[in-house]
Amino acid sequence: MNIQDILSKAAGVPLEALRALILAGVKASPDLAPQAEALLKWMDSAATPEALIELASTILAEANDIAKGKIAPKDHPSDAA
Amino acid sequence: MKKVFFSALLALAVSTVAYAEPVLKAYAGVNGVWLDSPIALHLPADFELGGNVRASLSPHISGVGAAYYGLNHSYLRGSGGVRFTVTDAANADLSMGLGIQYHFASEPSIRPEEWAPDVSIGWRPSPVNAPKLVVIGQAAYGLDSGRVTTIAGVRYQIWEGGVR
Repeated sequence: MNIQDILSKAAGVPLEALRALILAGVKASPDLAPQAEALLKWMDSAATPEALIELASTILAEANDIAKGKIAPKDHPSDAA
Repeated sequence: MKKVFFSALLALAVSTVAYAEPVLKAYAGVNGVWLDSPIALHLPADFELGGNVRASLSPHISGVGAAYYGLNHSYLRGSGGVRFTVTDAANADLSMGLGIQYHFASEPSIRPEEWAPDVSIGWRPSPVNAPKLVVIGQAAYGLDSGRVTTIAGVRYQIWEGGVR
């Protein structure tokens, strides 16, 4: 499973429609081509079990830091959703 | 339940001292909403105007909240919860998060009041020319209603706090 699969299932949009939507955006605004290329590459990246386990351990460690009052903010555009 | 979230958000706000990346950010936003169905290729059932706040506490953990007004169905709804960034935490232009929020609304028949896990994506299409502009998408599954609500929209950052 990759990120594209997750997004496709969540949004209910077929994989090809999702890609076509992004490419249509590029056609309308060619300046977005580099960003769109990065987006498509990211969507193809794999969500492997090993990566998920590593992420879970990272999150637990960060939760421990927060409980101790150690705050380390990062900028994530998905937090604006 | 609402008091718990407001108290948690207030505690997050108070705990924000000073950090290089702001802990708190607020966004004005507009959404297209697909109620009880995936986006598929249908037109949105409603459009919403409102705003979001987030408190980034660690590279992967954030508190999030939102308040929006539905223009077609005339409802006011809000949400608050936690979100975990599951993609590269160093990428400030593109990310995906998994989380859970409690949703409340003036019209529960349209926007049920319940816990809902969600998957969210955010994309900053022009980091140099428009760094405050973010394109978002989110799908949430209502644990009580079983509804899948999907939104797609844009955000513009209007405020930040807790800067070093």
